[in-house]
Amino acid sequence: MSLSLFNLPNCLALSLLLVLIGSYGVFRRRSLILILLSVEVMLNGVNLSLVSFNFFRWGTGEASHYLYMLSIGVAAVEAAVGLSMIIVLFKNYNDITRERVANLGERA
Amino acid sequence: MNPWLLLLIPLLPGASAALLALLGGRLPYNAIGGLASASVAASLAIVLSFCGAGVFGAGQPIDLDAGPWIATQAFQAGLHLRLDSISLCMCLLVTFFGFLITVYSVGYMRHDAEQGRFFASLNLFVASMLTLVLADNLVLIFLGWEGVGLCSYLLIGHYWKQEDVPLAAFRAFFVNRIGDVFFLLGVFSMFSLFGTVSLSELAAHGPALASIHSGKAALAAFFLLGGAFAKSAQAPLHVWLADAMAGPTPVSALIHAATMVTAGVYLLARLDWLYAVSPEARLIVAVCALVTLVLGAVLALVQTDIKKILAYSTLSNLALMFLALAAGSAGAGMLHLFGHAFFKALLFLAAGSVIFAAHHEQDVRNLRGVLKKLPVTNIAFLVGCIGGAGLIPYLAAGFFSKEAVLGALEEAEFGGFGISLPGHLVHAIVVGVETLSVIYLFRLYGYLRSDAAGPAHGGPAHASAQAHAGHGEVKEKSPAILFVLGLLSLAAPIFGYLSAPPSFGGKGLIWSLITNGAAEPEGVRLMHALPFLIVNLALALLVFAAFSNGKRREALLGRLRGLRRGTNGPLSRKFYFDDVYAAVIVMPLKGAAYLSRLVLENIFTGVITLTGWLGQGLSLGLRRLQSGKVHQYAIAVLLAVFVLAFYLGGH
Amino acid sequence: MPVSPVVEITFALSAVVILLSSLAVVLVKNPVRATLLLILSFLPTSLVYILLQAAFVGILQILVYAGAIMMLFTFVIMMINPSPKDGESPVGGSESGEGTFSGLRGAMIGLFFVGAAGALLLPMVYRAASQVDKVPVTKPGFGGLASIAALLFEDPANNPLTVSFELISFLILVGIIAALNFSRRKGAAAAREASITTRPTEALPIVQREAALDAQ
Repeated sequence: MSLSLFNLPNCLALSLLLVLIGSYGVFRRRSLILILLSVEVMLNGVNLSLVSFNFFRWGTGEASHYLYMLSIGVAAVEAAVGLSMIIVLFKNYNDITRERVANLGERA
Repeated sequence: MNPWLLLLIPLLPGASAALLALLGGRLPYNAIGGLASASVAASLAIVLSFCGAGVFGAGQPIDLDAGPWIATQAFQAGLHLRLDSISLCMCLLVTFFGFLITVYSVGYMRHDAEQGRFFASLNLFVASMLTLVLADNLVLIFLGWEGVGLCSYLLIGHYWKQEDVPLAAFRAFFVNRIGDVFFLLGVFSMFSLFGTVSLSELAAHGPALASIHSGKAALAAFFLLGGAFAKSAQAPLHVWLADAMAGPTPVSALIHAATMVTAGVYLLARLDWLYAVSPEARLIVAVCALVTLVLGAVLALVQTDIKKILAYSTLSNLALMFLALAAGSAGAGMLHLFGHAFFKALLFLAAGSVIFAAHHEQDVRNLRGVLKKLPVTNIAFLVGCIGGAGLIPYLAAGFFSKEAVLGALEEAEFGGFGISLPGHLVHAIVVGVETLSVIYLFRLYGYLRSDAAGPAHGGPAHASAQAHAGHGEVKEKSPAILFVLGLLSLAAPIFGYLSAPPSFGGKGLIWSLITNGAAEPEGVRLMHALPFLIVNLALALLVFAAFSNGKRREALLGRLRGLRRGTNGPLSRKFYFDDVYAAVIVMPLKGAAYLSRLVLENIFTGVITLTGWLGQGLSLGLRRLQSGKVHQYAIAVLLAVFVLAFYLGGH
Repeated sequence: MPVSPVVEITFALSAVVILLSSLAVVLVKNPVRATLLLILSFLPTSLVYILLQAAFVGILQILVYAGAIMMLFTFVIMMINPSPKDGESPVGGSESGEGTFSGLRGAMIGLFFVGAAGALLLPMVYRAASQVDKVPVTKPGFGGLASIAALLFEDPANNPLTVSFELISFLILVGIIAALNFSRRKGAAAAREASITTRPTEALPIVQREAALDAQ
């Protein structure tokens, strides 16, 4: 068939959908870990867009691949630090819901 | 003579009023009365000193420019005082009667509780009236106009703790207010037509302009009429005068007989050149004055309160003055103003003496025979009644003045709006009404001089008065009162004598004084007047005989009772004027007040509440943005990113 | 250049799996399942990367993302002892608590925003991306290990990527230190102080506990 599925618009659409799905998760999830997980979904989408741009629009260099590496590096560090914070919070409050731990305004 | 003395004339009583207002509570009674009397006496002295200044008659008026007051580009009204013959005579009237009545009040108010306030208001009244009389422009007149209205309110409401008094005072003020609106409209139209409000300028240049723009002039004349009618209690704005009797009797004597109610007459006399060119305005004056004339006389016949009888009599007499003005004779009107002042003030003061002696009993049915125990008052009353009825030519203060009015009416023509009212008709009506005045005056005198036989007829029985009437505890005790009564009893006939027209051998002196030098018309001949004189005299004696004897009185009243038609007939309801007012003015005002309360309470409050609610809602909503919850901030950031993406993507 | 149908189908299938599993990640209640589903979504992603001639990237995706990061998540979830119950679970997926975005209302709001964003942005993406042409890949060994290595390490002095590369390693170091610091047991006094900042209603048991500790 002449219909081409593997093209830039489709890849970008896929990445946008991943970002949206991930952001829905950020809105909705109450548990901090699951929020982090949703952020990972979003990051996944972003990475996909990086690499697909490189493939479809820049055939001579792969610097975007390096950008991808930076992205997962940052994601790793963020996950590590975030998760360790979650552990500490759990030890103190025994509760990881976002309302419990997110009170900058009032004393709980 | 230093013109600046003119300024002192109103200022002295004014300053005394201010002092008394501030310190009145703390001064001893004699000091209050003394200060009040002294200030008016000082004004009187200054006025007298101006008498020799060559102002009288066709003499040279004295002008004083005491400084700017309203001074704008388009409109100026300075503090201009003008002393010409008319205003000098009025000043004499005001200060003379003001002084006498203030002295009288020292005796009358001796047992009163709030004397400081009373004398302060009295002095303020004198000051305002003097301002009104001396003013040379309409705005300054308005200042005095308002001042006397205010003092009238204050003084009528002196016994404010009694039940109907505050309402009466408010009524007087309110009706006056209606008149003030008209007055102001008149001032505005005068200014728009003539470009000035200064009386002297108006008198000089006005007549020419007025005859050209007679329509506009008539409008201005009409508006000013409204003001004059309210102040001088002409129909339909007469309703306040009878109720104004709720104030102390000296007040009734000064304000509602001699001075304030004459302000309207004075105004029209000052502007008679304006009314000369507006026959429609004169017709309106004539008609309303005629109505008031008849109304006053008829209602005076059936009153049982001394002061009310005298009040309705005042209405009639004021109407006479206005009729003279409408006929074009300002001189006759002013002459009757002065004559009426003498005999009416005398009557009121004598009535006050009766009331004071009988411990504030005012119903004539309970005061029968009281004059037998008050000799001086008796004489004063008699002199006043003779003067009021115009019985004896040279001795009656009112005789020649009424004759002057009648004379003016004979030759007058009232036309306008396509109607023509012949002067003869008016003349005839006046003659008839004046007969009534004889009747009601001597009915009153009869009651007060009657023997004590015969039961009281359902009058509100004032227990102490009934006891006193029989037991001789009624006595003349106050020297101040007696002094004033005596003085006036002498002064009234003197005025009567002096007011004789040429046809009766007079020199026309007073006429020329009060008209800035005009010559007095011939006046009616003695021969013409004689029949009426005889009839009046006979009538007076008859009525007196009828009412002074208990049995005869009862017989007469029995036959007359059928005429009265109970307590809802026109006589008892004062010809339904009050009801008309209630329907036309009070009801709409109440309705408007109710509506505005509705609007205020519901709409305005609703708007305010809505604003508050909106604000609160907004703040609550916005407050949730600042929840302090991190995840909400994160979500906000995410949303912002989307918005940004959308925005950037658009490019 | 016509794309071979194998590529197309692979891409299509991978896309479907990615989308479905990501959707499941944000919807399931059980965090363990969510983690596993995320790992599942990484596999087709890697496949797509390979289709995009980014072989090294694809490998890295599996090695780093699925292998390391997800392992971390799994460990932590195990430690925190999640219970699959709803309601009071500390790490629960139950979304029925209070707050602006909870319950059915939260779902509605979330869907609304996401739907709106999608409806607005997708067409833009399509419009923009359709207007540009595909640039053919001309570099030999595009996306391969040697090529990436050359990119990163060739001529370090003049290589613009070197600095960031080193900084990345520094960043990782910082992360390690942070995580270590979080997990370090503080001294007894500091721990007491940290625990006293909880709610006042918990103060009494804490005080009692500390008193008992002191008595030891």
